[in-house]
Amino acid sequence: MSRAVSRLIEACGRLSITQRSQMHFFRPPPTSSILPPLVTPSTTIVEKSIELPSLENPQQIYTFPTLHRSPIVAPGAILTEILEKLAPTAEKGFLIAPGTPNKSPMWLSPRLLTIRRKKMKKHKRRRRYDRDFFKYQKYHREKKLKSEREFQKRMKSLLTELEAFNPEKYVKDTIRMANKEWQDELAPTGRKLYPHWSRFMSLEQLYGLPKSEYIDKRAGLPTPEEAEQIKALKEKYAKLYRKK
Amino acid sequence: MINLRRFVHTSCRLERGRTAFYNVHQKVTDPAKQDPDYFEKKARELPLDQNYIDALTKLYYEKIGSERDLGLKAADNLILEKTEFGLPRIEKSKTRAKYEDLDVLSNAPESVKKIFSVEMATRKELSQEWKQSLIKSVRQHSLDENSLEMKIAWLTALIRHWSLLVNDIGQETKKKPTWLTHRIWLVINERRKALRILRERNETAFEKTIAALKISYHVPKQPAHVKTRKAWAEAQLKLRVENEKEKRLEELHEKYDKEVEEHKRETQEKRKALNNELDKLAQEMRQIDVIEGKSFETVGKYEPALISSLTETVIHSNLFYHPPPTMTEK
Repeated sequence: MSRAVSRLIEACGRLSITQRSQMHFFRPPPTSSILPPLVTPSTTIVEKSIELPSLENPQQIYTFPTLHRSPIVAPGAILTEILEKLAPTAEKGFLIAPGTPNKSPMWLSPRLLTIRRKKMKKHKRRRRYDRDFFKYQKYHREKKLKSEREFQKRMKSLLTELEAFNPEKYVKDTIRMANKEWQDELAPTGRKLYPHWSRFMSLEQLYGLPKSEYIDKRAGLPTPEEAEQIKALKEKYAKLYRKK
Repeated sequence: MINLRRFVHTSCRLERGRTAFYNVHQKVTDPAKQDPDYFEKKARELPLDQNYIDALTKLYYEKIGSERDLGLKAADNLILEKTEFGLPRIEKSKTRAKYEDLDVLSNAPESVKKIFSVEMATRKELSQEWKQSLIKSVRQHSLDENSLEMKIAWLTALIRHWSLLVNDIGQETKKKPTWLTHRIWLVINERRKALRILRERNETAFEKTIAALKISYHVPKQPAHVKTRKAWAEAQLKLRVENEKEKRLEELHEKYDKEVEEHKRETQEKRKALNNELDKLAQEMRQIDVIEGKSFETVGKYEPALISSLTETVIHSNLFYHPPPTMTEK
């Protein structure tokens, strides 16, 4: 409290005389004010400022005749508000959010949730069907009609085929198909056929072997000299490249 | 605003039905329909005109409508059967099966025998009598109690008895007793299964059983198409078209055969005429040669001296075993 009072004194000290005299009025004085004019000592120089009522926010005070007229006095100044406006302090208290009430969670088993979801889907489907019943009936009728038309078309095409059937022409076509010659240049799918290598050369020519009909049982097996050479080469390779 | 869609129906169907109505419960009164291919044969005889498709449609609806009643009755030939229902006739004075082994009844007076006879039997006892009679006609021996033939006979008696019962109940109500017809369906399916197994195991016994019980058994075949009117009609028309084409090809084949025969006959006649002409000309040429003196007419035929040659050969073979070198050189 003493700190606040000292600060108030310092602030009042900084005020000028005119401001000090005007301190009792927080708003511009109205023209219908009933307060008596202030009496100032003659020793001090007083600067009076005349404030006219503003068009934007006119202040009006109504008075009614009573037996005991009491003077209307403005409320006292709020020290905290004045201090905050004149010299705001950096020390402010932390804003604490209001605590949330302790709510209990909703317990519902997953199977029940599934059941309720399915029931709701069923309900919505039924309502939709009932609402759009005539639309669905229209779709159904159109579908049936389309299917019937296609069926009639198929049946009529079969009858037309029977009427247009000519046995002589059929026999001639069959004979022509039977006499058809095979084309070597093209595959049945139309792809161009390239001849196989076996048409141009024999196996001996392909591998550069002498042409003979004798079949040697030892063909492909190494001779003793070649076996020695192979062994030497293996040892050389083992020395050079294989781990020990 | 009043919703007029609920009060005004622009469609002829007031219900929520989705298909055109055909009576699936119609009664069959023609025994010829018991043939499983009856409607297919009728479809083959329809004329191929503008109303062919509509006629096929009507025939299919009749087929589907008859299917249920035929399923219940066709196998036992119960169409238009109102009196016996395929059940055997039993002598009224015969003692019931339950009391057949009692020796006391053989000496009892007639009034007592009548009480225990078939005439006084209840429906259940009568059913047992029918079953016993049918079982005796097909069982293998007197002690047979679990063979397929015996089972088939028992099921057959049950089917026919229940069909009789359905008919009796049908006299009072318009609707068939569903609780009974469902059981009849189950029993028919069971009997069909037993018949199939018997046919696979013993063909002779199968034929005998069918003949004795008068069951019409048709080997079931795989359906050729889905069971819809359109698929059925299309299948019938395709068969018809194939048969018609084959018929036309056969006619063409016969025509070609006749033409070939005619041509062959004409060719043979021509060849014969030409051969005759050639022979005639050759004969004239020979006559001219004879007249000119270049050749002479041969009369007779040369006959070698066979007997003397044989005699000489035999004489020589008797003299020498091997022919001499001089004769060989000759």
